[in-house]
Amino acid sequence: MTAPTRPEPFGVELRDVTLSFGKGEKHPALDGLSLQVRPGTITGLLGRNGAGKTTALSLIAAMRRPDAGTVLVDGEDPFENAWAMAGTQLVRESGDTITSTKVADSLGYYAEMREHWDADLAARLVDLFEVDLRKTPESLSRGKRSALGAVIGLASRAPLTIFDEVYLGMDAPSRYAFYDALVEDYTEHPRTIILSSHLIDEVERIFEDVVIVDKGRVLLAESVESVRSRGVSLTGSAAAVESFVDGRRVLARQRLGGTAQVTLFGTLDDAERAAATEAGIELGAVPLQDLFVHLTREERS
Amino acid sequence: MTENLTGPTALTGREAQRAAVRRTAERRSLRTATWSMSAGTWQIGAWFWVIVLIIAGIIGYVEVRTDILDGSVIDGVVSGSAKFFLFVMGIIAPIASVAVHVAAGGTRRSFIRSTWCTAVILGLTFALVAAVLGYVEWLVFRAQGWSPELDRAQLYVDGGQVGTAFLVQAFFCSVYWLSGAAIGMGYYGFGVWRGTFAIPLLLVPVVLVELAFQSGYFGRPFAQAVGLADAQVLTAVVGGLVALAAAALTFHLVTRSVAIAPVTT
Repeated sequence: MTAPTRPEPFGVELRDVTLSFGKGEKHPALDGLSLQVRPGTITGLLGRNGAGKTTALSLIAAMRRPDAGTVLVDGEDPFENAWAMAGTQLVRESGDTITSTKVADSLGYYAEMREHWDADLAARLVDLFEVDLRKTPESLSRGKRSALGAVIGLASRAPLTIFDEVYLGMDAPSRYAFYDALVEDYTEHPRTIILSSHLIDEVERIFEDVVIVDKGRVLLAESVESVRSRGVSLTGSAAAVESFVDGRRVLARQRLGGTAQVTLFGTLDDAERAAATEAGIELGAVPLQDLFVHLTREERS
Repeated sequence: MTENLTGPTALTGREAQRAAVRRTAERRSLRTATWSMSAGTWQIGAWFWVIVLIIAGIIGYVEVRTDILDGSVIDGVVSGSAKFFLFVMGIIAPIASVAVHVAAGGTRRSFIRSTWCTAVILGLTFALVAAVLGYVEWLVFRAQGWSPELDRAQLYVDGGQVGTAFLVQAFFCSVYWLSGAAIGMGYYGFGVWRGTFAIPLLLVPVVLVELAFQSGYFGRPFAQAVGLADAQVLTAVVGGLVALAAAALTFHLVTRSVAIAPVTT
C-alpha cells in the first residue's frame, strides 16, 4: 500500500461576500467582503472584535453559507464539497471536539477522517503541550483546550489549515511553542495557513501576507513587506523628531526623557530619508500592530 | 493543436483525481461517523440494558411473590423502554457529533447517511437483544407453567414469536432513533422556538410506526382509532418502511444545510 500523495496547498477567494445574522445587527457580519489567499503562504487575518474574521473563516470551511457572493476554495465552492472540505481544517478557538468523551476519542475521530493525519506529530504535540488524553475536553483548562486545537490543526496536515484565535487561554511558553511547531511543520510540509489573532506583535514574524478586516469589509490585503512599507518608525531626540514629523500622519508616539519614537503612516522618499538621517533620526520598520490600530481606528472614525 | 489536445485531457485527469478523493473522503466519513455514533450509543446502551434488566427482575420477583404476575415483564419494561432510550440518544448523539464531523472535513451529506446507517444498526442490535430477552423469558415462563402472553402486543402474542418480535422492535428502535435525531438537529439548526414548533412535524414518523405496528401503550389505541387494529405483518412492515423513510427524510431536511456552531464547553 502506498502512502497518499501529498496534496497541493489550496488557494482561497471570497468575492463580494455578504452575510447577516439578523435584523438586530447594526451592520452585516460581512458586507461585500472580497479577499484572496495565495496557496502555500501563511496569511494573517487581523481585525478588531466583531470585524467579521470568524464569520469569513467559517464560510471558507463550509460551516455555513453566505447570503450572497462567491466563496472559492481551490477554485471550487466549498459548501458540501467533499474535495474542498476534506482538504480544509478550521480550528475555532479550542477546536471542535466531542466534549463528553476522552480527548483520545476526539483525536481518534480526526485521525480516521483526515487522510494525511500525522499520528506521530499529534503524539509529540500532546506531550509538548501536556494534554491529558484520558480527560474529557470539557474538563481541560482553557489553555489545554486551545493546545488540543493546535494539535488537531497541525496534525491534520490539511492543504488549507485555519487557526481562528487558537491561542486563547494558552500561556506565553505554550503560545511560542505553538508558533515554533507551526513554522517547523509548515517548512517541512508546505500548505496554506490562515492565522487569525489579536496578538499581532507575537505572530507578525511568521506572516507572509496580511489581511485586515473591519466591519465586514477588507481594509487591506497585502504581503507583510508591502504593509510594513506603508509606514516608518523614527527614533531620535524629541526636538528633531517632532520637527521632522510636523504635518505628517502620526500613528503612534512614545517619549522617554529627551528621546522620542514616532510611527508615521506613509513612505519617505530618498531626500526625506537623507534629511532625517542628517538630523540624527534613526529610521526603522513600522510595527504591524501600529498600522493595524491606525487603520481600524481611522475606518471607524 | 497540441495545446488543444492536452488541455482537456489534463483537466479530465485532474477532475478524475478529485472525484476519487471525494469518493474516498465520503466513504471514510460515513464509516467514521457511523462507528462513532453506534459505539457511543452502545456504550451507554449497555448500561441501559443492565439497569432495565435489574428493574425487570425486581418487578418480576415482586409480581411472583404477590401472585399478580399476568404476562411478560420483559416486553413492558425492557422492550417497551428501548425505543425511548434510543429516542433520547438520537437527540443527543448527532448533536454531539455534527460539529466535529464537519470540522474534520466530513460533509453534512455523509453525516446524514451515517445517521441513517446508525439508525439501522442500532435498530437491529437493540431489537436482537430485546427479542432474545423476550424469548428467554418465554422459555422460563413455559418451564414454570406461567402464562407467557403479552397484555399489549398485537403482531405477536408472546416472546416465542422471536422473529416477529425482532421485526417490530427493529422498526421501532430505528424510527425512534431517527426521529430523536431530527428533533435534536431541529433545535440545533432552528433554535429553541422554531425547533419546538417543529416537533409535531418531526414526530410524524413515530406516529406512523406506532400505527403500523400497533404495539405498546400508544400503538394499539392509535391503530384501533383509525381502524388498523387487524392489520397483518406485511401491512405493518410496509407502514414501518414508510415511517422509516419519513424519519430519514425529516432528518435529511433539517441537517442538509445546517450552520455548524463552534463546540463550546
